[in-house]
Amino acid sequence: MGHSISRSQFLRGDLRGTRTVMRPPWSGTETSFESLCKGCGKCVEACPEKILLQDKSGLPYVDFRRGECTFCRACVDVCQSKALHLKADNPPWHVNLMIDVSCLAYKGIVCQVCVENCEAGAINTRHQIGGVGVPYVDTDTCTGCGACVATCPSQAISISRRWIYKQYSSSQEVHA
Amino acid sequence: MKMNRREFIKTNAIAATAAAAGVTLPGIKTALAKSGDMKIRWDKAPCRFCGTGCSVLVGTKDGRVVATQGDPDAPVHRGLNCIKGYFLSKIMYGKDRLTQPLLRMKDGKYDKNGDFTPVSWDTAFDVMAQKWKETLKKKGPTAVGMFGSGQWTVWEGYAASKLLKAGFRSNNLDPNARHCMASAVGAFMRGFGSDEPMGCYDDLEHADVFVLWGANMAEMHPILWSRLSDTRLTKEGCEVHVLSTFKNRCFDLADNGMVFTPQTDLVILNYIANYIIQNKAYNKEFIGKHVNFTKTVTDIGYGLRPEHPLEKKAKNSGKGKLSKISFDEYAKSVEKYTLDYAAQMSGVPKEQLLKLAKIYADPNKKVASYWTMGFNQHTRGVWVNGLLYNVHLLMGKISEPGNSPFSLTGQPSACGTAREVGTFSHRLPADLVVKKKAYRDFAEKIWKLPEGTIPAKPGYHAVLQNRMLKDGKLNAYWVMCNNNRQAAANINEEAWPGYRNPENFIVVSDPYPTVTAQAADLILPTAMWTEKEGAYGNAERRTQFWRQQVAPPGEAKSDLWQLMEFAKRFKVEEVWPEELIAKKPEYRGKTLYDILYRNGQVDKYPKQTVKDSAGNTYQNDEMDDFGFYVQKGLFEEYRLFGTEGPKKGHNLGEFESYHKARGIRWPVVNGKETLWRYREGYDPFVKKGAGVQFYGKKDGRANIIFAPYEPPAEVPDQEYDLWLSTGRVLEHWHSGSMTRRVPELYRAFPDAVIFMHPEDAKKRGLRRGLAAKIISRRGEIIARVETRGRNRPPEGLIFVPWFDAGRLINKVTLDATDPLSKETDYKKCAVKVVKV
Amino acid sequence: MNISGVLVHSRPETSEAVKQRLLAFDGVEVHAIADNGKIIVTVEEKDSRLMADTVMDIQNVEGVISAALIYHHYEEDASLDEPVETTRLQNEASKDSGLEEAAK
Repeated sequence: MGHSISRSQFLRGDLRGTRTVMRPPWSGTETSFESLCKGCGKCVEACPEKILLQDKSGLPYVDFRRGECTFCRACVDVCQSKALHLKADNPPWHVNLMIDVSCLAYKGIVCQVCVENCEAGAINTRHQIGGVGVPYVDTDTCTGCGACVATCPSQAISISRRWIYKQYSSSQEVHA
Repeated sequence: MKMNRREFIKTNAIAATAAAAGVTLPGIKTALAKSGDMKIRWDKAPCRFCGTGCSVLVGTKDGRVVATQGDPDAPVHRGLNCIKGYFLSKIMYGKDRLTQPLLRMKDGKYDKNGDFTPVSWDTAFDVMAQKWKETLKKKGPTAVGMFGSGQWTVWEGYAASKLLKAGFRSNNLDPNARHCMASAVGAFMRGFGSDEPMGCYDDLEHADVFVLWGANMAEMHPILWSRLSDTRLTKEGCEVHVLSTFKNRCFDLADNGMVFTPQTDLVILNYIANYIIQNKAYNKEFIGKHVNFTKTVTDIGYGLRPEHPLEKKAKNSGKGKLSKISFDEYAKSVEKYTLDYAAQMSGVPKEQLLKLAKIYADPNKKVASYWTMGFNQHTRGVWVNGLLYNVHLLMGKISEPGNSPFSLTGQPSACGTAREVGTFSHRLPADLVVKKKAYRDFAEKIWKLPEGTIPAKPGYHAVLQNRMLKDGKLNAYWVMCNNNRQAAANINEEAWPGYRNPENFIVVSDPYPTVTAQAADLILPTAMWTEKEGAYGNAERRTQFWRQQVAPPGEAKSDLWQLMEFAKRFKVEEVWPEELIAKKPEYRGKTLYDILYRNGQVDKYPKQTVKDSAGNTYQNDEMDDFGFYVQKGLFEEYRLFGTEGPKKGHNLGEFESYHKARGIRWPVVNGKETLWRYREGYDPFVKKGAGVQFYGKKDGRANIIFAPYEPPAEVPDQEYDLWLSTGRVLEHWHSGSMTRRVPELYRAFPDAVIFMHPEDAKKRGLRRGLAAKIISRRGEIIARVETRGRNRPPEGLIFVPWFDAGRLINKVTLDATDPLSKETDYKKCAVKVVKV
Repeated sequence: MNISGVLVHSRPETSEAVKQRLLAFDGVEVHAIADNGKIIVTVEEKDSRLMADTVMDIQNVEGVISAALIYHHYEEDASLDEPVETTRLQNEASKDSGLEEAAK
């Protein structure tokens, strides 16, 4: 699956292109996105939630500390370079949601904020004996909307892209 | 530190798991706040939010509370905390803290329609005292009043009670606990002759089965819920039954979750009693020895204004008389509450009701029942509390480890201050009431007052205070430590008009410009929580003390200081009639401050340095200002009501003992606390050999009180086709006046929403996230629709939290109250919801 | 690759025996046993479905009162061997400044 390495990847030390920043939804692989996106900033303007920002090279990324993605597709609609594009019924992205140790539950604090803000019901808590309910994530149902990120009182949640091999396109690495 | 990613993730995994287990591992750093930073001074204080009474460690640095943390040595919660408690210190540092008295003024003078203008405390009290004096002169003591709080410290409540009931000779003193605990109080007094639960939180480990009746513990008492969950998950055969009018977070753990039609808890409880009798499961010996059977007067109305059609229609509006009946008569009374009838009325499937009845009827299962506002905010609140006691009493499942009907409380000192100090319009400390001459005599003796000082007639209760303000009968009014313009029901019709009635002068003491403060004529800036020395009493009779940790901002002063300082403004001749003064001529020329607080008892303890066992010293502003240890003097005088009073079993410990312990549960005898009341071996007041003795009643017997089902005041109809229930959420407490000022809590749950069934939303052209209007016969508000998440109402019911000052749901609610407890039913009225 | 932290609750008197039984599982490591019988375990699994099974299996081990997944991380294998700068990832100060920014 050899692919070229972009400068920004190189600078991040991300040689495999797996630890990328969160690009807007439906942006495909980092490599293809970086080659297609012209950095015009239209998607940033179009985003009604105002969660898109431009990085140093002008490419858009999502900052979930500003809010959540509603998957309204406004960014896709204005994208002329096809860096963002809908293909069949592809989901916007696959994400890995990580709750780190600064989560209040690990300090014995009852906090349900991420659970309550998760519309998909992907975050739930399990009661720990002698402790409180600790959140866990069902990665399969998590849509990556990011509603849990800004609302988390201890800023313990981070979202990153998850790259998977999909069976229907086994010959090729895709961002499904 | 270099490690590879695998090791790093694994370290995170270990740290998280260790933290959850409460274990510290060498080399693995967990982010606990108890740091080695020597500049932080740590001390303990009870949390300022709910009635659970968690103890928190308060870290102070450079005169500012910088951290709070669950206190691992506290028996209530063992170091756990809820998210509100975690951010507790931030409530003191909201950007809009009030730091100066503010008076409505125009052209340099007080004017009801003027703008809020900063004034000195002197000016504030001058204007205020003048209004009080005018009112007393013109209309007498019944035209002055005060609305207090279950968030007051014990001595603040006590000092207020003395100022109002003895100083101004007005019983128009009521706490906001009227809105939350009054029905529980009513039932305790009718059933047992003594207020507050017989059991304690230890029952959370001792019980085999838990039943929740209108208590969303998972959100409202999350720490107790954690303890309950521990038991459920570790004890074999443990079950959790949950009853509510909508699905809430407790249903996640429930073995038997039941959503019932509002008001039919009355039916379900009578069905359980009937089931127990039909199956001869009742404890014959227990009821033979310890129980009387009675019935209550029925058709008692809904506590509305007397001219309301519902009150005119009611045969026995406001009546609560009990009459004795036989066991057979009781059995006959509950006979019609069959399983079929209960299922039909409540909408709960038969097998679930049967399952519930069986666990109560099983003599080998220890059952703990918990309730909060679902029972108390109920137009038949006293009745429904009583019906649950009936079930426990029939089985003898009471006053012993694990068998525990337990009323949870909402406010941190609803028990300690509102109930034990007796800041209700009909009460005095330690369960005494103003109606009884012997009790008034006793209070006057302790307070060194002439006979006849305390008026015999109960004053205006919370709901009546608003009505009397509107009607112009209550004119000088002081609101302290609460937010009643947000909390009272039907505020448009019954609260706002009274506050803005030109005949009235309204004073509000608060740390923040709440909606109530904004409706006032004078706002007094108030010190909060650890900006003063305090004491709270939680739901399990545990009294907890704290020291002052920091100075309040600006000119903010504690409620205690305000009460005592205001008392200095009144010469006794200005408030008492000559014939009363004549009985105590030595009081001539003295101020109310001299008489009430410099009586040789309250000022008995000289100024001293407050020190903890580690040698840290603490400031005490009131001690500095008044020149004696005010808090200690007030507490030691107050304690006499328990140790020497006519009602036994209310003993508190010595002032100093509370600083040494993480709270002590009363009655405290010989320094020892009491875990289970009325049971020999646990409660020192039970006569030897009696086994069980409900000594609050003369014959030592508790009352089983039959009460039937009666319909609610308002039910949905064609036009107003939905039930509205109101309540709280985990992130916000009280009226949100503090929690909404904590950025993390605000972000977590910023605005009130309408929790609604998706089908109900669809029928109205609504979906999640859209704004909708909630309309009742009294008012309307706009909020967004929520069809998912923590609360899942059935079709036909919506739930709206009341913490949001921008969306005052109490414009919509109905001020129907329990005619016995005068507590409002915030859980049932009829509304419609339309698209905006 | 999945890495999980699992809190296993056992009775103190049986916790040593439980530990031995747990170690029989592939990918399971036991890091500590507390006096109250709580055992701190990590599990490494290739497949997240297997991970859920392993936690279930732990639940069924003799002497285990409960097993709870406290921490779960999923990531592709290869990157796991990359070095990380732990200080950067745990820098609370940078988080706080982000918080303020978000609040604006």
